[in-house]
Amino acid sequence: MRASSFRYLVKNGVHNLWTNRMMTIASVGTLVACLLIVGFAVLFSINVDSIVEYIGQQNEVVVFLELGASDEAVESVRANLSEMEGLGDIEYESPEQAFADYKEKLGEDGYLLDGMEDEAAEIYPPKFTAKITEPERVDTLVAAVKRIEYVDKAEAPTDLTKTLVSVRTMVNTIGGAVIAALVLVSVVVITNTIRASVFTRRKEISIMKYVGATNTFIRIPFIVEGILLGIFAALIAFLAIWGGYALFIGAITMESSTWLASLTQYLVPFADVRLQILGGFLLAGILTGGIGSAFSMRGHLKV
Amino acid sequence: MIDLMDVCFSYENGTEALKDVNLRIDNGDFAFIVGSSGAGKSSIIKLLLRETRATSGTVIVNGYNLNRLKERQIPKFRRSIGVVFQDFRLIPNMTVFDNVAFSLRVTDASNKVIRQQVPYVLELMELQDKARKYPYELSGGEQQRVALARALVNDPPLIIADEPTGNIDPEFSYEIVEMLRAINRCGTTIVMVTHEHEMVKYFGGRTINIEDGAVVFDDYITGGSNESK
Ligand SMILES: Nc1ncnc2c1ncn2[C@@H]1O[C@H](COP(=O)(O)OP(=O)(O)OP(=O)(O)O)[C@@H](O)[C@H]1O
Ligand SMILES: [Mg+2]
Repeated sequence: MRASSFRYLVKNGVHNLWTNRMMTIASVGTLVACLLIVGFAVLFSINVDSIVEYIGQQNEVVVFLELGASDEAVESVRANLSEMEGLGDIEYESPEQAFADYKEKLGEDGYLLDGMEDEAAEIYPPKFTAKITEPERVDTLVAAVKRIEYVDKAEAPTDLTKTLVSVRTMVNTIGGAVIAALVLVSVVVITNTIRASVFTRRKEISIMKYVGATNTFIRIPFIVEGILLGIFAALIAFLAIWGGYALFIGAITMESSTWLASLTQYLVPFADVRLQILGGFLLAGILTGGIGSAFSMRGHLKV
Repeated sequence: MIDLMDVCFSYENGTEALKDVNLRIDNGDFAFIVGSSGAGKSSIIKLLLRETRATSGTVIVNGYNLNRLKERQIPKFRRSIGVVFQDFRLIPNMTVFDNVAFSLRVTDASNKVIRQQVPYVLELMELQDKARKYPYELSGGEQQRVALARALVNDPPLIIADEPTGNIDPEFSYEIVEMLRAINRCGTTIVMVTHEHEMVKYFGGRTINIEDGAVVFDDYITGGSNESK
């Protein structure tokens, strides 16, 4: 096909957007609504994830070895812990360190402990602190740590973690279902809207066929139209979600209740996800628009 | 050239529209197809345009054997025919110029060719002042002339017209047929379906009468009976 013919067809698609502007507004509106709901669902779930992750990272398992454990025992436990999946950074605190810390804490009264340095190993057990990277497995992790040789005790605060993990699982499941359903709804709605537009122009299409137009020739303007619809909808939805998110964060920050205000520090700033959201919207818009029109054309091209 | 050999055609609901039709229209001919309502005239046109396929028999148009024509080849085949319908079938949201140009666009013609050819045929159809108008701004006769211009612009060897004068005033009807005759004199084959026996008698020429799906008369008649005009 000549470049000038292609330009003509693209121009035709743009022209059709304007000629059928009621249809255009309806399609763009529907698509914007779907993109917005999906967008907010995604943002919500990203934020819940981020909060859960943040709080999860504050989670540690504290591992106490048997009193007077040898250096070899300490190294063996360290090796075991670092091999364990679900644990992050590991910190070691020797009995001497613990003793020194305690002494320092006593401040002026620290002299009372003078001369007892050698007995540190009999007072303090060697201690490891390991970050938990997979909070959902906290129970099994603690149990596994307890089974390591030379380990006396292992402790982790499990209640909060469990609640957060179950919240996250729930949000992700429900969010996923909502998103899947909406994606389906948007494709159906867009396909129907474009199908209606194709239907009102079926006579025009049949005329084109009589004059000897190929299917590609007839399709291109419709596909251009669908893709442009998608791009418009994506841009509008992007601006709306940007504004909406900024308002939401603004409202929370203004909130006098410290509990809510402290939440903002865990929220994902819009700038972090801006490109992904814009890209996702554009991709979704272009695909639904383009595929929607290609699909809606079927059946009307046989004349 | 059109060649129909032992052609039968039934619609999906079982209506036998054409029964064993044999018909040959040579290059350069001007043929009227007449017959009462429901006789099968439009059915023949549908076969000639490969809108439908013959149930049996052979249909050859412009050298294409339509029984064997693949779906992909239809557009190319249709570009070798200019079509005019009773209801004009212009594209409503395109200007007169664009409607005519569309016929060239589908052949991937360059802008240069379009800028040359379209004004030329519009002038031929005496439509040069209407180029920027939309179909709804034109009278029936003018719309039909636009349709004719669109059919002509590719310079096809064959023009098929199904009741081109059916929706326009009698005075303009004769004008349309005159134009078709002028086109025919330049070598284009014309097949025109019509109800109007008076007009056929006036112009004369090859006349094919279809009744009840079969050819009952096919001969040249002398024109000139002027009383109706
Ligand atoms: N799409 C269709 N499905 C079924 N039967 C049809 C269809 N179109 C036409 N017919 C039938 O086929 C027969 C021939 O119809 P056709 O349209 O060819 O007649 P015609 O000669 O063009 O009539 P008219 O002068 O009224 O236009 C008629 O009996 C008609 O009822
Ligand atoms: Mg008819």
